[in-house]
Amino acid sequence: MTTIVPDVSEREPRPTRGGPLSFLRIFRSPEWGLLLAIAAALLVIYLLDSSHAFFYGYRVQTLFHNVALFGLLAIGASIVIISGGIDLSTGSLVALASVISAKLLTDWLHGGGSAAAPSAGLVAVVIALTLLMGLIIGLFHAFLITMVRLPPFIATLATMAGLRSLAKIADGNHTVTVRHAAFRFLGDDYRVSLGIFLVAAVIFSVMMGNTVLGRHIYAMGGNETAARLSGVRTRRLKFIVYGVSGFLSALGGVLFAGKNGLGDHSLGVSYELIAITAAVVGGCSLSGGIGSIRGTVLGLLLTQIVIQGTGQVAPKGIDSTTIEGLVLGTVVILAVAFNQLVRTRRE
Amino acid sequence: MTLTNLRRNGAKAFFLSLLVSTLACGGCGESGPETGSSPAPAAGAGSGTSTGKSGSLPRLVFLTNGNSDWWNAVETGMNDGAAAFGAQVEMRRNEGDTAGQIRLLEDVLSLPDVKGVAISVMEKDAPGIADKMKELTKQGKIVIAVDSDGPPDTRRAYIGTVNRKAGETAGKVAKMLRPQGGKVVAFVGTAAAANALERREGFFAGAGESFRVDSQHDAIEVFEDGVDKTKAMQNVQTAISKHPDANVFLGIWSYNAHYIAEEVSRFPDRRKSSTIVTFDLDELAVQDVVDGKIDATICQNPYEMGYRGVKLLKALIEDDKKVLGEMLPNGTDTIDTGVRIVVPKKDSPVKGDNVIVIDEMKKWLASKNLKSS
Repeated sequence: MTTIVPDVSEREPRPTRGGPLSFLRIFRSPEWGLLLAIAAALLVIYLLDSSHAFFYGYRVQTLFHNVALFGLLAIGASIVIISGGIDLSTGSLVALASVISAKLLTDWLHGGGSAAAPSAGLVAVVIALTLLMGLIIGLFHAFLITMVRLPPFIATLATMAGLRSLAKIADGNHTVTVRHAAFRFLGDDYRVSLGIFLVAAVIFSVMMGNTVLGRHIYAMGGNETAARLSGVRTRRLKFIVYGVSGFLSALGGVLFAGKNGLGDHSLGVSYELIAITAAVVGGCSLSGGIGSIRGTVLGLLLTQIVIQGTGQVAPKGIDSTTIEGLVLGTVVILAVAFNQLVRTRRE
Repeated sequence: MTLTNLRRNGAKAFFLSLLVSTLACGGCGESGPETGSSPAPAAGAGSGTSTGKSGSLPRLVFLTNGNSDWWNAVETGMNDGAAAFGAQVEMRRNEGDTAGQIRLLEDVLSLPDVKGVAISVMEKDAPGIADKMKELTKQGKIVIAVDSDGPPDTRRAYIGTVNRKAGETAGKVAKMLRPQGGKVVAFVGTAAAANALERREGFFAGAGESFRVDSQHDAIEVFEDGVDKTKAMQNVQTAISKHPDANVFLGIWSYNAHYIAEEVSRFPDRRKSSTIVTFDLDELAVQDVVDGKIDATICQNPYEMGYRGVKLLKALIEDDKKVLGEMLPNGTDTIDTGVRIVVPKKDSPVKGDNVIVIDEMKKWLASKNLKSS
């Protein structure tokens, strides 16, 4: 039997060999358009904001800080989308993880909100338990999809509602304040958050682009039946894919709790849409089998530049939050239309 | 597809259309502080009001905690204050979440020409918000709190209602309307918000023991809606069916009032046996008070918060000791804009110096060109 595993060279281009101009093949990459779009957005911001504050100090920090925090969610979303699925529970899992980590740290493992700083060991245990919870919830999604045979949309839609409710039960419908620096610095210090994100991005980019596991995920997303008939263990892959998504969402929740200093059941509303938007803008196809972590990171960078740039260049007297959706929506349509155009031309 | 084709047909079109669309959306006003020399729009023409040459006036930003009708009155006061005292002002509205307010603070942190910030603090105990407010101060910006106070070390002053006192007033009003006491269900956007906590605490202190469930619990249940208006309405529906013994409906945030009035009045018997006390006066709630669907509402003065907020920020930026001495006498850091108790008719059992009938309140609103307060 011939193994039907699609060539992923278009999705995660490998180093090229050949003539002296072969490096130009990089411009064939779908990410090239994203780089152009990022450059265009930066140019527009530069032209419209005469203070140029967007390009210095604090704004650059907040830009990369947000890319790091949302990036973890976007990586998870893109892996699920490439596999042919969808995970709508991301935002709710972020909320639950923020509440659980805050409660563990201030109450459940640390004696009723003790003011004393928790030890590094305790912080590590809290984070490990929270990540484990995220992993288990991800595996539960895979169970619902593979064993109960619920469509991914329904399975994660149900838990989107359920997990937020669990978060409310856990925090008693009140936010949980976390002041401990040993915990907060993970999400509050943009360099640490960025470091965590970059490590995750490299690991999952290599996994998707350079391993058999990654190729099987692409194959499953492209045509699940064909992949299964070719010997790919699709059930096991779904457990891995949704487990990773749950794990990364929980990690995002821990970092958001650190940044805000709160475990908050209302945190993360619509964060799944931010993650999915980044993946789609970055070239992932919602029908599966196409996309890359690299593209998703660039897609997220573009959307964050547009969102924060709108706040920067909004005319005085205009509430930037009223127009950022319009600007972002325009960019999403243009970016996805561009991806579609490139894809059609290739075919 | 060749590189040439890709660049010529795809990327170029994308680049140009992105540029055009972004310019179309973002380029409809002034571009920066140095270019703002054109005369500002007239007072009342929307946010961003200023007088004289806008480039020479301090840029002030108001950050809300939620987004409701109530903030329109603050905005009107803010614009009138800008016209009166000379400032460029704008309001940026949060949608009721802590992370969203942190993002708005980050936006302001990257606007070097902003000199003063007035913020309605989403959560007093959120270190993330407190940290950003301190960063604003470190940048040399003046920070004050309006409507909902933050920790004292994060802001120079607070302008607004002393929410604990407003809560006590609401409690006393409930007691006047219902001397025998009652069982309370409360409705709010974010239960942990400082103003919500203080109003609730004040209410039960003012109303007395006969309104508490027991020594450990005050209300039967506090319903939280996350500033989602649909949820706010559903919460009232749930409360009506879940707690048939509830006979005091307390709307803690402004928009809660209308949904309580609307839903409870669907059940005439229930309405007759219940007391409805709310805070503030949203546009929709004005008619509810006129119709007697709300027994009394404790009305803050958001217009004054906006107006005096601009005056105080300007004085702090310019270190105008005369104005500061008038506004913050004897080193105080709180300006209480007070409350009025609005009732449907003169024959209401609610009595006091600051009680006003809705018809008079409507005239005052009209005089300030306001629809809510």
